[in-house]
Amino acid sequence: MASGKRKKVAALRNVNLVPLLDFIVAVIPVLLLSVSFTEYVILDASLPAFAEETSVVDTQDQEQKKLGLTIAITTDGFVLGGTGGLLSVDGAGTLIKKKNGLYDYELLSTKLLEIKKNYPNEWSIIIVPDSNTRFEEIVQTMDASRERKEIGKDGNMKKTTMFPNVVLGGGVV
Amino acid sequence: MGIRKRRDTTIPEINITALLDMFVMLLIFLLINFSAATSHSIKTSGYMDFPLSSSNKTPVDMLTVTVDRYNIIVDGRVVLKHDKGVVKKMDLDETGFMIEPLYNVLSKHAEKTKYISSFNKKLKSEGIIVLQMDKDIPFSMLRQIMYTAGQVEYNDFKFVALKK
Repeated sequence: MASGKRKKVAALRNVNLVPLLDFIVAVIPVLLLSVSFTEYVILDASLPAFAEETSVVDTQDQEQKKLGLTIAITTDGFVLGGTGGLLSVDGAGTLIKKKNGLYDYELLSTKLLEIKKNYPNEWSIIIVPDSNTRFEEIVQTMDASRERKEIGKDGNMKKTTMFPNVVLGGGVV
Repeated sequence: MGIRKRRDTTIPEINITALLDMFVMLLIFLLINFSAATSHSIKTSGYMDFPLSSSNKTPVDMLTVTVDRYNIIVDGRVVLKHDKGVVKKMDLDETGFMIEPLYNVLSKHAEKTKYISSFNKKLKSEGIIVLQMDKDIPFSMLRQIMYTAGQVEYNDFKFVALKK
């Protein structure tokens, strides 16, 4: 009786783990080759004629003017404008000049946040790039206009959704 | 002098349990990543760099148009070649906005989807194109692609980027 128990314990102690190890060693390289460590994301954009003005919940006050926010990406920088001269400075759109030859996405985002505070029910934005604007610059402009991340007073990250409905305009020819 | 040491013939046992533990953990980690990575298929061209984005939306499986540094590819097949974001005049229509070879391929795809959806009501064409573009392609070419797709009722676009 006692020797039988001892045999069982000895058998458990001598489990042959080598085949299992072989299997794992074979599987790991296969998985390592097929696993992608890069994460892809997508950004939505529409053609002008088909863009929905209010695809995100829009409870727009009828009395409030439609903003029709537009960002033109020019060789000098961003020009912000709205329908009917809204946001205009001296009859022209607000210009956000390039900083050291690069587009100032941070300032653009800050300006858009100010606009969002005045027009909380606006969700759409029209981006009108220059013909030579690179795809990367368009994507970064879309990022800057979609949401703003700030560290709040309590130390937590605060996300503000600004203008997620992007319409790509015809371009500055 | 006459005493000889007997050679120890027993093979020392290596304890592989710790090694096995590590491998099992690695296997689990890889399997989790594998399932996350294969939930959507992004087939990239070797001749392109994706832009970076802070978006959180995950890619969807739709008709994919890839624009790398040299080619426009629809669902893995090269439709036409371009020169650093400039399409040859012979490939454009008289307005200069529509890329004719691309229009022909997209039309076929749209027709195929309509034909299949006539039998399978669940499969509906939503008019969406997943666009993978090299980060340096100019807007002039993006405009031509969007215009061409718009003519075949592909009105919504999902730009693919790498997560920042």
